[in-house]
Amino acid sequence: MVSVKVLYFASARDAAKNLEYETVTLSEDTGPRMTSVVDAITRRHPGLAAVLQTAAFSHNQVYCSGDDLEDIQVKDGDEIGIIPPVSGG
Amino acid sequence: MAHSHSCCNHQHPPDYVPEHNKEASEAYDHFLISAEPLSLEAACSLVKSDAAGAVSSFEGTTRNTFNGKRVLRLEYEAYEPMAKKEWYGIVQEARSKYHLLSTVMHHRVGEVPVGKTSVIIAASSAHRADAINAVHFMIDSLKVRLPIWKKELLDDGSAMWKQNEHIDISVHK
Repeated sequence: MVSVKVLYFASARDAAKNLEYETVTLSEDTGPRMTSVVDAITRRHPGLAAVLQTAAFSHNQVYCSGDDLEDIQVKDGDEIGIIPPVSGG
Repeated sequence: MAHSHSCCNHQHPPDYVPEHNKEASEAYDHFLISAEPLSLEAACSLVKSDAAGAVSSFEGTTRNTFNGKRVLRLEYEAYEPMAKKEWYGIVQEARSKYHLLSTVMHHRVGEVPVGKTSVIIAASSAHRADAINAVHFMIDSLKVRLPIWKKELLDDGSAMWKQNEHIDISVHK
Protein backbone atom coordinates (compact mmCIF):
# COMPACT_ATOMS: atom_id res chain seq x y z
CA MET A 1 0.00 0.00 0.00
CA VAL A 2 1.15 3.49 -0.85
CA SER A 3 -0.06 6.51 1.12
CA VAL A 4 0.43 10.05 -0.15
CA LYS A 5 -0.40 13.45 1.31
CA VAL A 6 -2.66 15.52 -0.95
CA LEU A 7 -2.81 19.28 -0.43
CA TYR A 8 -5.78 21.33 -1.63
CA PHE A 9 -5.50 25.03 -2.37
CA ALA A 10 -7.96 27.81 -3.19
CA SER A 11 -10.91 26.54 -5.27
CA ALA A 12 -9.64 22.95 -4.90
CA ARG A 13 -9.98 23.22 -1.13
CA ASP A 14 -13.48 24.66 -1.51
CA ALA A 15 -14.37 21.60 -3.60
CA ALA A 16 -12.76 19.17 -1.13
CA LYS A 17 -14.95 19.88 1.90
CA ASN A 18 -12.59 22.66 2.93
CA LEU A 19 -9.78 20.23 3.68
CA GLU A 20 -6.28 21.70 3.59
CA TYR A 21 -4.83 18.25 3.12
CA GLU A 22 -5.61 14.58 3.56
CA THR A 23 -3.87 11.26 3.30
CA VAL A 24 -4.85 9.12 0.36
CA THR A 25 -4.01 5.44 0.37
CA LEU A 26 -3.76 3.81 -3.03
CA SER A 27 -4.66 0.19 -3.46
CA GLU A 28 -2.32 -0.62 -6.34
CA ASP A 29 0.24 -3.24 -5.45
CA THR A 30 2.70 -2.11 -8.07
CA GLY A 31 3.75 1.39 -9.02
CA PRO A 32 0.77 3.70 -8.57
CA ARG A 33 0.91 6.81 -10.78
CA MET A 34 -0.23 10.39 -10.39
CA THR A 35 -3.34 9.43 -12.33
CA SER A 36 -4.24 6.98 -9.53
CA VAL A 37 -4.14 9.87 -7.07
CA VAL A 38 -6.34 12.03 -9.30
CA ASP A 39 -8.86 9.19 -9.68
CA ALA A 40 -8.92 8.55 -5.91
CA ILE A 41 -9.51 12.19 -4.91
CA THR A 42 -12.17 12.65 -7.61
CA ARG A 43 -14.04 9.66 -6.18
CA ARG A 44 -13.84 11.16 -2.69
CA HIS A 45 -14.78 14.66 -3.81
CA PRO A 46 -16.85 14.61 -7.01
CA GLY A 47 -16.95 18.42 -6.97
CA LEU A 48 -13.21 18.43 -7.68
CA ALA A 49 -13.69 17.19 -11.24
CA ALA A 50 -14.46 20.67 -12.58
CA VAL A 51 -11.54 22.23 -10.68
CA LEU A 52 -9.10 19.60 -11.93
CA GLN A 53 -9.83 20.50 -15.55
CA THR A 54 -7.86 23.72 -15.14
CA ALA A 55 -5.61 22.81 -12.19
CA ALA A 56 -1.93 21.99 -12.27
CA PHE A 57 -0.35 19.36 -10.04
CA SER A 58 2.80 19.31 -8.00
CA HIS A 59 4.75 16.23 -7.00
CA ASN A 60 6.97 16.77 -3.96
CA GLN A 61 6.73 20.54 -4.47
CA VAL A 62 7.68 20.50 -8.16
CA TYR A 63 5.18 21.17 -10.97
CA CYS A 64 4.23 18.24 -13.15
CA SER A 65 2.69 18.93 -16.53
CA GLY A 66 -0.84 17.66 -17.06
CA ASP A 67 0.09 15.50 -20.04
CA ASP A 68 2.37 12.99 -18.39
CA LEU A 69 0.57 12.21 -15.10
CA GLU A 70 0.41 8.60 -16.22
CA ASP A 71 4.21 8.49 -16.34
CA ILE A 72 4.81 9.88 -12.86
CA GLN A 73 5.18 7.17 -10.27
CA VAL A 74 4.26 8.02 -6.69
CA LYS A 75 5.87 6.56 -3.60
CA ASP A 76 4.82 6.21 0.00
CA GLY A 77 5.02 9.57 1.77
CA ASP A 78 4.98 11.70 -1.39
CA GLU A 79 3.36 15.14 -1.28
CA ILE A 80 0.90 15.98 -4.07
CA GLY A 81 -0.42 19.53 -4.49
CA ILE A 82 -3.62 20.45 -6.33
CA ILE A 83 -2.84 23.84 -7.83
CA PRO A 84 -5.71 25.79 -9.40
CA PRO A 85 -4.73 28.71 -11.68
CA VAL A 86 -2.52 30.96 -9.60
CA SER A 87 -3.21 34.60 -8.75
CA GLY A 88 -0.23 35.78 -6.74
CA GLY A 89 1.08 39.31 -6.87
CA MET B 1 -2.23 49.17 -9.37
CA ALA B 2 1.53 49.25 -9.38
CA HIS B 3 4.32 51.60 -8.56
CA SER B 4 7.94 51.30 -9.55
CA HIS B 5 11.01 53.42 -9.32
CA SER B 6 14.73 53.28 -9.77
CA CYS B 7 17.46 55.46 -8.48
CA CYS B 8 21.19 55.78 -8.95
CA ASN B 9 24.16 56.76 -6.94
CA HIS B 10 27.78 56.91 -7.95
CA GLN B 11 30.16 55.94 -5.18
CA HIS B 12 32.50 53.81 -7.28
CA PRO B 13 35.11 54.56 -9.90
CA PRO B 14 33.66 54.35 -13.43
CA ASP B 15 35.61 51.19 -14.23
CA TYR B 16 34.28 49.26 -11.20
CA VAL B 17 32.24 46.23 -12.33
CA PRO B 18 31.29 43.54 -9.81
CA GLU B 19 31.56 39.97 -11.04
CA HIS B 20 28.45 38.50 -12.73
CA ASN B 21 27.12 36.20 -10.02
CA LYS B 22 24.72 33.65 -11.56
CA GLU B 23 24.08 31.66 -8.37
CA ALA B 24 20.89 32.39 -6.45
CA SER B 25 21.46 32.18 -2.71
CA GLU B 26 19.46 32.84 0.41
CA ALA B 27 22.46 34.87 1.60
CA TYR B 28 21.68 37.75 -0.79
CA ASP B 29 18.39 36.75 -2.50
CA HIS B 30 15.79 37.40 0.18
CA PHE B 31 12.42 35.64 0.30
CA LEU B 32 9.60 36.20 2.76
CA ILE B 33 5.95 35.20 2.87
CA SER B 34 4.27 36.85 5.82
CA ALA B 35 0.91 37.84 7.23
CA GLU B 36 2.38 41.15 8.41
CA PRO B 37 2.15 44.44 6.49
CA LEU B 38 4.99 44.93 3.99
CA SER B 39 7.42 47.83 3.79
CA LEU B 40 9.04 48.94 0.55
CA GLU B 41 11.73 50.75 2.48
CA ALA B 42 12.57 47.68 4.56
CA ALA B 43 12.69 45.46 1.45
CA CYS B 44 14.91 47.88 -0.51
CA SER B 45 17.29 48.27 2.42
CA LEU B 46 18.03 44.53 2.11
CA VAL B 47 19.38 44.90 -1.45
CA LYS B 48 21.25 48.19 -1.20
CA SER B 49 25.02 48.07 -1.16
CA ASP B 50 27.98 50.27 -2.01
CA ALA B 51 28.55 48.20 -5.17
CA ALA B 52 25.02 48.91 -6.40
CA GLY B 53 24.50 51.88 -8.68
CA ALA B 54 20.81 51.05 -8.95
CA VAL B 55 17.95 49.69 -6.91
CA SER B 56 14.74 49.01 -8.84
CA SER B 57 11.52 47.94 -7.18
CA PHE B 58 7.95 46.90 -7.88
CA GLU B 59 5.15 47.20 -5.37
CA GLY B 60 1.79 45.55 -6.05
CA THR B 61 -1.23 46.93 -4.18
CA THR B 62 -4.83 45.80 -3.95
CA ARG B 63 -7.38 47.53 -6.20
CA ASN B 64 -10.71 48.81 -4.90
CA THR B 65 -12.94 47.81 -7.82
CA PHE B 66 -13.60 44.77 -10.01
CA ASN B 67 -15.96 45.17 -13.00
CA GLY B 68 -17.49 48.20 -11.33
CA LYS B 69 -18.13 46.43 -8.02
CA ARG B 70 -16.51 47.58 -4.83
CA VAL B 71 -13.85 45.27 -3.41
CA LEU B 72 -13.87 45.08 0.38
CA ARG B 73 -10.68 43.09 0.86
CA LEU B 74 -8.53 40.31 -0.53
CA GLU B 75 -7.41 37.10 1.08
CA TYR B 76 -4.15 35.50 -0.03
CA GLU B 77 -2.85 32.02 0.58
CA ALA B 78 0.38 30.34 -0.44
CA TYR B 79 1.84 26.87 -0.77
CA GLU B 80 4.83 28.25 1.00
CA PRO B 81 7.55 25.59 0.73
CA MET B 82 6.86 25.12 -2.98
CA ALA B 83 6.59 28.88 -3.54
CA LYS B 84 10.04 29.23 -2.01
CA LYS B 85 11.53 26.57 -4.31
CA GLU B 86 9.85 28.09 -7.37
CA TRP B 87 10.97 31.57 -6.38
CA TYR B 88 14.62 30.57 -6.14
CA GLY B 89 14.24 28.97 -9.59
CA ILE B 90 12.96 32.32 -10.89
CA VAL B 91 15.85 34.18 -9.24
CA GLN B 92 18.30 31.72 -10.78
CA GLU B 93 16.81 32.44 -14.24
CA ALA B 94 16.91 36.18 -13.56
CA ARG B 95 20.56 35.95 -12.59
CA SER B 96 21.41 34.09 -15.80
CA LYS B 97 19.78 36.88 -17.85
CA TYR B 98 20.77 39.94 -15.83
CA HIS B 99 23.78 41.03 -13.86
CA LEU B 100 22.40 41.33 -10.33
CA LEU B 101 23.90 41.96 -6.94
CA SER B 102 20.98 41.24 -4.62
CA THR B 103 17.22 40.61 -4.83
CA VAL B 104 14.24 40.54 -2.51
CA MET B 105 10.67 39.26 -2.73
CA HIS B 106 8.15 39.82 0.05
CA HIS B 107 4.60 38.53 -0.37
CA ARG B 108 1.77 39.07 2.08
CA VAL B 109 -0.75 36.34 2.89
CA GLY B 110 -3.99 36.35 4.85
CA GLU B 111 -6.28 39.32 4.73
CA VAL B 112 -4.99 42.34 2.78
CA PRO B 113 -7.21 45.44 2.91
CA VAL B 114 -7.81 47.50 -0.23
CA GLY B 115 -4.97 49.88 -1.04
CA LYS B 116 -2.37 47.91 0.89
CA THR B 117 0.73 46.24 -0.49
CA SER B 118 0.48 42.56 -1.38
CA VAL B 119 3.89 42.06 -2.99
CA ILE B 120 7.27 43.76 -3.22
CA ILE B 121 10.13 42.80 -5.51
CA ALA B 122 13.41 44.70 -5.65
CA ALA B 123 16.80 44.12 -7.18
CA SER B 124 20.14 45.89 -7.07
CA SER B 125 22.74 46.03 -9.80
CA ALA B 126 25.80 48.00 -10.78
CA HIS B 127 23.94 49.56 -13.74
CA ARG B 128 20.23 50.35 -13.86
CA ALA B 129 19.10 48.30 -16.89
CA ASP B 130 19.81 44.99 -15.15
CA ALA B 131 17.84 45.83 -12.00
CA ILE B 132 14.89 47.33 -13.92
CA ASN B 133 14.61 44.45 -16.40
CA ALA B 134 15.12 41.79 -13.73
CA VAL B 135 12.31 43.18 -11.57
CA HIS B 136 9.95 43.13 -14.57
CA PHE B 137 10.96 39.55 -15.39
CA MET B 138 10.57 38.43 -11.78
CA ILE B 139 7.10 39.90 -11.21
CA ASP B 140 5.87 38.42 -14.51
CA SER B 141 7.33 35.03 -13.55
CA LEU B 142 5.79 35.24 -10.08
CA LYS B 143 2.37 35.88 -11.57
CA VAL B 144 2.70 32.93 -13.96
CA ARG B 145 4.00 30.24 -11.64
CA LEU B 146 4.27 31.01 -7.95
CA PRO B 147 1.69 28.87 -6.09
CA ILE B 148 -0.13 31.77 -4.42
CA TRP B 149 -3.83 32.58 -4.70
CA LYS B 150 -6.07 35.51 -3.89
CA LYS B 151 -9.76 35.60 -3.20
CA GLU B 152 -11.60 38.85 -3.81
CA LEU B 153 -14.46 39.71 -1.44
CA LEU B 154 -16.94 42.20 -2.89
CA ASP B 155 -19.41 44.45 -1.09
CA ASP B 156 -22.37 42.58 -2.63
CA GLY B 157 -21.40 39.62 -0.45
CA SER B 158 -19.83 37.58 -3.24
CA ALA B 159 -16.31 36.17 -3.20
CA MET B 160 -14.22 34.64 -5.95
CA TRP B 161 -10.79 33.13 -6.46
CA LYS B 162 -8.89 35.22 -8.95
CA GLN B 163 -6.79 34.01 -11.84
CA ASN B 164 -3.85 35.97 -13.25
CA GLU B 165 -4.05 37.13 -16.85
CA HIS B 166 -1.98 35.31 -19.46
CA ILE B 167 1.58 36.63 -19.48
CA ASP B 168 4.13 35.98 -22.23
CA ILE B 169 7.38 35.40 -20.37
CA SER B 170 9.34 35.04 -23.62
CA VAL B 171 9.38 38.83 -24.06
CA HIS B 172 12.12 38.91 -21.42
CA LYS B 173 15.36 38.31 -23.29
